[in-house]
Amino acid sequence: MIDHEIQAPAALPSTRKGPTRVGRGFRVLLGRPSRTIGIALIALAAIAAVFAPVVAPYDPFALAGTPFDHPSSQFLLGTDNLGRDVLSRVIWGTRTSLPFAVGAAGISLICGLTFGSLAGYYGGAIDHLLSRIFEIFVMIPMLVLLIVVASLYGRHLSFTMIVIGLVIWPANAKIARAQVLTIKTRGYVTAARGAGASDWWLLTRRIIPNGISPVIANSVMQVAAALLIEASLAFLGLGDPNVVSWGQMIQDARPYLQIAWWSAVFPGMALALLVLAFHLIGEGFETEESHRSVF
Amino acid sequence: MNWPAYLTRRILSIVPVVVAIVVLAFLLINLAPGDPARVLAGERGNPEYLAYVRHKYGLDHSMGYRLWKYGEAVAQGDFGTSLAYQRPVASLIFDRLPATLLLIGAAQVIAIFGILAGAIAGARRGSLFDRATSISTLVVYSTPVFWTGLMLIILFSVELRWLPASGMTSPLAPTSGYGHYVDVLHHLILPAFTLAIVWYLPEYLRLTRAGVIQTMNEDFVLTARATGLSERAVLFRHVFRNALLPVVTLVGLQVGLAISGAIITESVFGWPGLGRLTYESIGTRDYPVLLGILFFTAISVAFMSIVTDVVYALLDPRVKYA
Repeated sequence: MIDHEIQAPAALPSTRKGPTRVGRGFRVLLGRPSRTIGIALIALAAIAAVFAPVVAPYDPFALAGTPFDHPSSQFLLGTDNLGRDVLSRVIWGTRTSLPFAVGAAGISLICGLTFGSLAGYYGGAIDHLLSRIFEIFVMIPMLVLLIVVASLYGRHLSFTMIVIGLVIWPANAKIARAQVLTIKTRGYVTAARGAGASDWWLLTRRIIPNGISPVIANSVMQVAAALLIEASLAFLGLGDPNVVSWGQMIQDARPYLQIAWWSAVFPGMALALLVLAFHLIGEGFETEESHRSVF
Repeated sequence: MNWPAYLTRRILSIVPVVVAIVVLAFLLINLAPGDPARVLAGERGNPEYLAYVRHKYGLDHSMGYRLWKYGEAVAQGDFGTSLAYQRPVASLIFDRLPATLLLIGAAQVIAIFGILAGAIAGARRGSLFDRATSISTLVVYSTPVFWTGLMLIILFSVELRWLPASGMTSPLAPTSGYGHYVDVLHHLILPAFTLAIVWYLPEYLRLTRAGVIQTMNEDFVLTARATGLSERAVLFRHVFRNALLPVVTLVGLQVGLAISGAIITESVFGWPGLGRLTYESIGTRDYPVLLGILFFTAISVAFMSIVTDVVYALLDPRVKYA
């Protein structure tokens, strides 16, 4: 038992001290300037998403000006091939990207944590089954699968989001399983079990809270991956036609690169900044898994 | 190590993966809205062909029988017929494969610089070089690959007019010999560079850097230093060799999964490989081709994972698969 105490992974916050859980969380989050930048960018995107109808100068679908207007005081980022305001569409694009990516990563987090914890805690058949499932999922190139699914089943954003979540969760499960395996042999867990704590109580009150941070870190990286996937599908012509999507904007702008670079440049920048923000936050957690490999 | 036994077991271990993908593809076809025969024969397929497909895959029978017929066809390497090209999917895929392999191979060669830079950055942790490479690769890694490709087209094709924006050959260039190779290389530069800097290089750099930093703290490095070896000798003979092992795994996995990056890159640059085929098949709703590519990529990933394990075992004598 003592051995395990010493070998606590570096990613785990100390369980012994610290002011409050929330206070410690904030200190971890704001500890590095890169992470502060990441949080600021995400906050900005979230505000843009929530208040899009108020913040955006024009209706994103309205033909507000003439096509291919240069960036000017009237249209800060110019207009696209139909005369729609690029800035308004970039702002409305956060409404599509952010909930989509957070939703997909959230589904992955819930599934991964549930199945990974159960496999790590109980071992045996469920553990064996999970390892097999993971082996299979890791072989399937997600983008190709999503292309097939979107072609056959239609281009609904929420459906695509669920499919992504259901494809990427094994990465979280693998991490959660490893964490539970380490933590369940710790002194404070065996002590609590000796005192009569139930399996459910041990998992939800002691093991998962202490081991969750690498899983969260991976989920943050999965948000970034999901953002890129949504844009890629839209770029390939498989985006939801009923929403404003940055990937779709770039695809629309593609034939007019020579005359209207702005309508391709700015949506891509917005996407890259948001992805970068999630990378900056996930970065600090120092996980060794390769995150894009799920792509 | 008993190589024949190990290899046999390793190859057999991908059987469940293949079976799972057959079942997945089957379910995707059969649960799709509408008639599965229409999925396989095309929305405008003529009645005779529709009847033929219905018979071939046993579509009037129970689900179990249909799965069996479908698995039987796939096991024979029959992935159906492309609706747009009117050709067997398998031959279509193999036609397009060389272009994709050329693109991925060239991108890997460029990405080797990521391993070199990662080794230097790790050895000089905290230096200006370390911080500059880490930040710049993270930024590029965060960009969507299609957008970065378009930006490079704006810069190098539209503005500077140095490199062609799309395709693999120029219409007026020689079709064989030295001139042909130069022409293809000229077209290859932008897509390979785009794929490398967005997709591979950042990951190789990060992993190599982390590996070097970790290895520098090992006891055997301390011992090597204590024997009076120069820092250069310690790095090259002891640190880099050990730090590169995990990179081998990543390279193997990346080559297998590269098709995702290649699909998007080829779509941007009109590179006539598997990715371009995927892009065209989305437009023409050519489901047999899309399913064939799904199979093909999944099996390549499985195959590459075996190759990676074998290379790893050859490089690291501690690994025992007995």
